[in-house]
Amino acid sequence: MKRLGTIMLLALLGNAPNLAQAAEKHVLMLLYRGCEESCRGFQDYFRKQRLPVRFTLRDAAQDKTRIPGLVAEAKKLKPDLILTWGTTVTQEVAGPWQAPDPARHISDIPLVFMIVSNPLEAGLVQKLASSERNLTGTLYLLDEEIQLRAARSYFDFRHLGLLVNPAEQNSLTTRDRLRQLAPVLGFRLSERTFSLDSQGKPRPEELPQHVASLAQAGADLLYQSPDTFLNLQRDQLTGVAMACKLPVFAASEAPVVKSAALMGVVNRYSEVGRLTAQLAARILFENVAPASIPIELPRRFSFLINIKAAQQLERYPPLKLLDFAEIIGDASPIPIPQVRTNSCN
Amino acid sequence: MLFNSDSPQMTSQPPALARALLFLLLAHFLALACLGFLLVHKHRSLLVELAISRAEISVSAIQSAMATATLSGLEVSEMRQMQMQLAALPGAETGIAVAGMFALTQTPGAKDRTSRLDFSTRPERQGLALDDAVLVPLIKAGNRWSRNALDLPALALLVNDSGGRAIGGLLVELDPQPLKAQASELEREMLRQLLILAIGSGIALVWIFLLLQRRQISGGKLMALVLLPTLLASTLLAWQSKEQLAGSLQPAINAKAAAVAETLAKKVEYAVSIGIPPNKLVGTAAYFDEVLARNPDLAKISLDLIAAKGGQPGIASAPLSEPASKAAIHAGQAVIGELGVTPDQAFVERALWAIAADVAVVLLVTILVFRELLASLVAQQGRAGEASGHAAAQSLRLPLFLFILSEELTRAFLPLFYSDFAAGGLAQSTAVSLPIAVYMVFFALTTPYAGGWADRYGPRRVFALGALLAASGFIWLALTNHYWALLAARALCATGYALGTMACQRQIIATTSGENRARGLALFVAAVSIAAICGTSIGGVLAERLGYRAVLLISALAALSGFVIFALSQRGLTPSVAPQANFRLADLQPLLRNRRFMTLMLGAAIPAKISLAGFLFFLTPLGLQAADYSPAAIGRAIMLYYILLTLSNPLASYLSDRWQRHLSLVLGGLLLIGLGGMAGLASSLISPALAIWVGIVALGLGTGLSAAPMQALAIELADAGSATSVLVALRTLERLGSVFGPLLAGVLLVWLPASGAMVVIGCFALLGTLLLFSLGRAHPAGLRQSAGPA
Repeated sequence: MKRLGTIMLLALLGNAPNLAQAAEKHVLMLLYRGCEESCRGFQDYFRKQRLPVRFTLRDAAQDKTRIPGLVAEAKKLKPDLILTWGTTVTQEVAGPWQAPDPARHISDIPLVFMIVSNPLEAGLVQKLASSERNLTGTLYLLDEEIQLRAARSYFDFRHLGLLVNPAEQNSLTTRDRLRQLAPVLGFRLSERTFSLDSQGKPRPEELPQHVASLAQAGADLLYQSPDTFLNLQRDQLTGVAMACKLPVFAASEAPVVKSAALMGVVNRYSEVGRLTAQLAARILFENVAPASIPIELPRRFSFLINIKAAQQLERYPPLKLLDFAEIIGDASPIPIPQVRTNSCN
Repeated sequence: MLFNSDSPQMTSQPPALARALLFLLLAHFLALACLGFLLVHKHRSLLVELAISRAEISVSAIQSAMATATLSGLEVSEMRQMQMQLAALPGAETGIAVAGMFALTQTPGAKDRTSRLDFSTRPERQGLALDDAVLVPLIKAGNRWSRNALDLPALALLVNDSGGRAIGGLLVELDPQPLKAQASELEREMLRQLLILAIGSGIALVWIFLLLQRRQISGGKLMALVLLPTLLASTLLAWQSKEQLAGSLQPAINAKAAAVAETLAKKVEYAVSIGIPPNKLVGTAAYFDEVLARNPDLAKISLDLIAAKGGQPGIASAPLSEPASKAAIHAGQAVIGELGVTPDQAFVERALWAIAADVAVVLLVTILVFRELLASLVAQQGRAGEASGHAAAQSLRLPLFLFILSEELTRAFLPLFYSDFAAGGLAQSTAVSLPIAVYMVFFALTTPYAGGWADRYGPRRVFALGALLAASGFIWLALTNHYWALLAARALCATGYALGTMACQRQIIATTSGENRARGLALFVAAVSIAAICGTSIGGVLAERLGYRAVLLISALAALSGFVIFALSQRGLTPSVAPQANFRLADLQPLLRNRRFMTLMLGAAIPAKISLAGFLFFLTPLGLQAADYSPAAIGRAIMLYYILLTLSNPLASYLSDRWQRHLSLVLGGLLLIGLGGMAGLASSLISPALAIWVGIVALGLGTGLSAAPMQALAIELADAGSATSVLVALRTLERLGSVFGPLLAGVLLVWLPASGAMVVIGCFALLGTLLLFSLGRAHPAGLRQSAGPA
């Protein structure tokens, strides 16, 4: 890790005869947190489709200052396509849509991004239908309305509890959107806002009392927004909620899969990676211009249900939901007692 | 009103009488055969539909498993578990003969997807590509496709990835043998009954005919009474077949109910297996209701669970009087309950009601064809007696009817037929509208000259040429697979149609004079409208049962038989040499410079034709198809236009003659057409289909109201040249609208829904009314003159 975490992946090359004549393409992947699930899903797609692609991976390792060096290297390598991961990397590589700087940014190589929360707010594109530049990509965050409508198919909640972390923009955006949706979808919204310490960080010790007070206020579903702080506290959060018999809805994967959130409506990172790879393949092998590919969400999302949480809460999914939901947790008729004990007060 | 313009008069003449009887009997048998065909076809399609939906229940479970596997990144070739499930499908119980799983891949650079059967229960098929006849419609349909044909019933389902791309799917072929055996057993039985009924009622028909003949009853009464046996026999046949069909279809319905019970029991088992206690199952009622809504042949689903811990049987929720298919629900080794599915006893009855409209159309067409036959027979008799011009015109009726029928048969489905073709580089809607526009162009170009040619070369030759051109056009259409050939074939049809109709018109003019000529020409109009009513409706019914291409061949046959009858009936008629006003371009010029005449053209004649060709001929079939209308139902909708036109036209002629308010009537008609188009604005409020119906009604009444006064007004405004040349100019100019209408609608459909395009077309008519207002205001004298008392 002294120099940039560089790995050369001379991947694949299936021996499908019909592709023998198709020239091998070179894809440079500029990452921010190493090759995680979406990155693997991206590569996986080309492998499965037996498309002749060679990958070069470069990781900024969460250090923004390393990115200009990666851009310089990319200009030298001249790959057929560059994949960028996350808002920061994409901004540094592509530049703003109004005025990209030819010296700092790349415009002569097709760029494809993924895991960018909001390409419009990030200034990458002016509209999602077409970037009108040498760039396209995928969305991955589901709109809260889609999530809540899906949650309604589990049970008809009336009173939504929300934990707000003022230190993260993400959390505030979610709060505003939920306030907007409350009259539309017909639910009451109760908020509990974390206070910040001297370093501007939310105090985790407030978590149990916030959750308990939401339960006492009569909330029948707790919405866990996709912010980093709550994700780190997910075990305690879902544990206390469970003790209060308050089901948790998660906007990300981990609280359902790794903790005790009852349900989650998410786009799985591996699936986002595969969808992004599909766009990249169209650019590489079908000569489609990036600007003509609209920036979209995956068409289908995953509905995750933690069956152990359901058993503990005695709140079971309706039959119809079982047709498409992913059930997390194995089938054991007797709930295993919780190792951690949380109380609701 | 339809029947009193020229009531057939029968005079007793033995040979003609025999011929009349023969024709009537023929029509009688044809009507009953049509009805028998409808019933047999319904039985077959229900049988196949039930078998396919039975198979679909088993297959769609595998489809959703594939979709989930795709979401977690599995390739079709890796879905071994689902292949094992597929392998267990074929058997007598499921009715499935072959089951397979295919992958779709898009090779880099290639435009089309290639398919490959990764798995099939017939190992020799593995690795093969899917037949294009399956793959192309399947991808077009987007999710599900089935071939509801008795000889090779099949079903295919697609699986999409999260980018919306189809990555593979399932294909099952059903075993046709048991279906065929069942169909032919019932058909033999029905045929026997049909024969007995047809012969019995045929004898009754002969008896009634002879009786009426002796009592000198004629006209409409004769029609009604002679038809009585046919109607009675049809009713009896329909009533009898209800029981037979129900008996024949019941086993298939029961088998489907059993399959649904099995599948739903598995669902409940799965819910229990993931850890939901049986007594805590949620949302079963809502789930079952959805299943019932999707399967109209099922009446009730009941779940009967033994209480999870106590081991006591629950209370049966369905009364035991109804036969229900039951499936046990297991948890491990133990049976924890039972799921029952009750089929709907009234399903067959409802299915038969659905063809009531088709039966009504068959009967209506029978009545109209009877009438045509009777009229044609009268003409034959007239000729045998005294050679009157009117009779000669009457003898043209049948060939003209058949010739026009050939075109109208295709009216309900041609745009749908076009949309099955891919045109390189054209938007879908433009590709559909172009053949209509080409047709209109050729029709418009040929018509002005066809009359002259008929005079020079004789109507017989020109009619023969027209019929042959039209027939070859239809045959070409029926056989071609290339988009651009459509255009050429339609050009042939248009040229043929123009030649044929003009030749008939000239023949009438040549063999009549004075009072007879007016009646002859009225007869021409009657034949056109009756053929339009019959053709659009029966064409839709036939297209639904036989397919588009078969109807195109029937059209070719109709055109050819029209020619044969024309050749036979016009033999030995010497045309009177009458000087004819032929079309010359020079005649147009003074009219083109006549501002008032041109205002009428731009304000009324052209917008009316834009609505006709753009809305009725193009948007209506496409819009109604999008609202899930069958070709038969589309045919009935278009038929309504012709019926309203036929009914309102004489009224308008009468009003126009009596009040002399030509302009007001034209204005009113056009306003009606335009407002009908505005119904498209309300398409989200009412349904899009209802908006189209409103448009059709308004167009029919509006056109009927304005057509005759427009002619009168055109002659009045032209005040130069002969009436004939003015009318030729009117017809020629208004056809600009016929060409422009479909093209405009086709382009509009690229951006707008059908209702939006309908509104724009309606706007042309409304703008036209504004122009017409200016006509009234700029020349108040003209208006007053035409508004004065007669």
